[in-house]
Amino acid sequence: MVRTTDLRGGYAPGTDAIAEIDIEVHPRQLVAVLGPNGGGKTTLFRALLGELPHRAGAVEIIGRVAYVPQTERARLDFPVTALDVAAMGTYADAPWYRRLPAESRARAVEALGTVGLEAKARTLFGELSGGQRQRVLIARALARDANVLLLDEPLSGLDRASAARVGTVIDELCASGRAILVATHDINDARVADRVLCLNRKQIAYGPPEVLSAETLERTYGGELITLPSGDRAVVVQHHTH
Amino acid sequence: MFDGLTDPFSGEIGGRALAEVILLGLVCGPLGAWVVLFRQSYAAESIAHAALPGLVLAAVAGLPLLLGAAGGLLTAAIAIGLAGRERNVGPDTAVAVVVTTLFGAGVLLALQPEVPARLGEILFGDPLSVSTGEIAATAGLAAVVLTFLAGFHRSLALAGFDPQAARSLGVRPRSIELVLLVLLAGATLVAVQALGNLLVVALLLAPGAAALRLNRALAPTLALAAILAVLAGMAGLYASYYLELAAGASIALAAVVTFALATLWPPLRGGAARI
Repeated sequence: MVRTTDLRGGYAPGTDAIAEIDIEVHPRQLVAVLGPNGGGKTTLFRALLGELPHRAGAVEIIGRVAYVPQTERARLDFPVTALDVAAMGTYADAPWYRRLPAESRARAVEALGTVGLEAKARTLFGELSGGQRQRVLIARALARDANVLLLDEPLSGLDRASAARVGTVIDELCASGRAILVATHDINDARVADRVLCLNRKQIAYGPPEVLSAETLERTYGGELITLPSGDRAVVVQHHTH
Repeated sequence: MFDGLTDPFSGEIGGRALAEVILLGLVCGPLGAWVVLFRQSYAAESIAHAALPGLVLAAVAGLPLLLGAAGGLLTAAIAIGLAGRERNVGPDTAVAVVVTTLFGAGVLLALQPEVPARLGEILFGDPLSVSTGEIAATAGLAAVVLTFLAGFHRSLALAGFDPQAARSLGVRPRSIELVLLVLLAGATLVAVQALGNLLVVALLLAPGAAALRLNRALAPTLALAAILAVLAGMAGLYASYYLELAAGASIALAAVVTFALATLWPPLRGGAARI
């Protein structure tokens, strides 16, 4: 469903933000994209969406791909309801000067139902909890009829209960036949994925979670990785620049 | 009582002024709400101020102010584009430098002895002096702007709400923002005659910002912004007629009062207080 061969590229000519990306993702597979800030996770997603200004190598995607941004960056002051946001996934159904067909609206309602938020359709997006907002953004991708979902740190900033609910939705979507790539900082989340892509401006490793050896993590995170005294857990210290 | 309401608009001058402020309100209200939502209020102010040298030159040459404002905006757009290309000069800095330069140049020009005494009209406008032709131009602009706002409604909503994901959903956020700025420039051009170079910003931004505080859904917010802008225009004309105040300044003050009153209203949603 998604195959890249020696994918590389960046925002300016000659300066690759990602390189040597060779991955193959099939339906029903959950891929954790692991890497430090600035390691190229979002850049990879932009490359898969065809939005990276400079891209080389091959990208083959069968089906429709949709991007789900971090809910932390969403506008909470925008006067739109959960249904309005989900319906944005159907905007490509009609040209800008035409009304959206009724079935598009119905698809948006159905997508909200899929993520368990049909009852919140008329609630303002800014009044939803962080987890609910993340699910609305996922519903928008579903309304687009996407079979490849690119989720940018979907659990970031969520409390444990909300994160668990979003995680369940992701698992259900994966089981329904979609291929899902999830950018994450959490090594423990990556351990339960079907595949893990370790990224630090280039592909460090790609394969089953067993690729997450101490050496791979060290090469991926460098000095940002701390191994806890017990030796069985590693955590990443993020140095946010924003 | 009824006569009191109709008296200001019974004459030819008052009737034309009423038509002008209604048309401007219909355009500036919803357009201003989008400008606030796109966080382009600074651009709105800059565009208006950048037109000053062109307006003054038009006054010197005896040309229509509309033509002068268009020339001023075109010069500003080219200068901002060129300055923005320079390395180490961001778009904000380019706008600030160019607009301040043009505004300063406009004031210098306006203070020359050969400039006719129209500086007040240029800076503060006069809706009571609009001609039938200018009303027709405003009506044409209103039709164009409202058609575009209606046609691009979905694209504006998506590009404003989530520019990060907009492209993956079929909308180019930068193109949409450009469309919005072009509409803003068009509205500024036409509104300058009635409201002046300094005061046009009030009718563009205040009713839109007020409506965003008072309403919960996008389409009703845009409609409310238009209503508030029209009411502010009419209130300004009443104030001008009965209190013998300058009409342009009265309208600008009335527009700001709509926002001040809206701030007294409890915010209807969590994020509203930030608008």
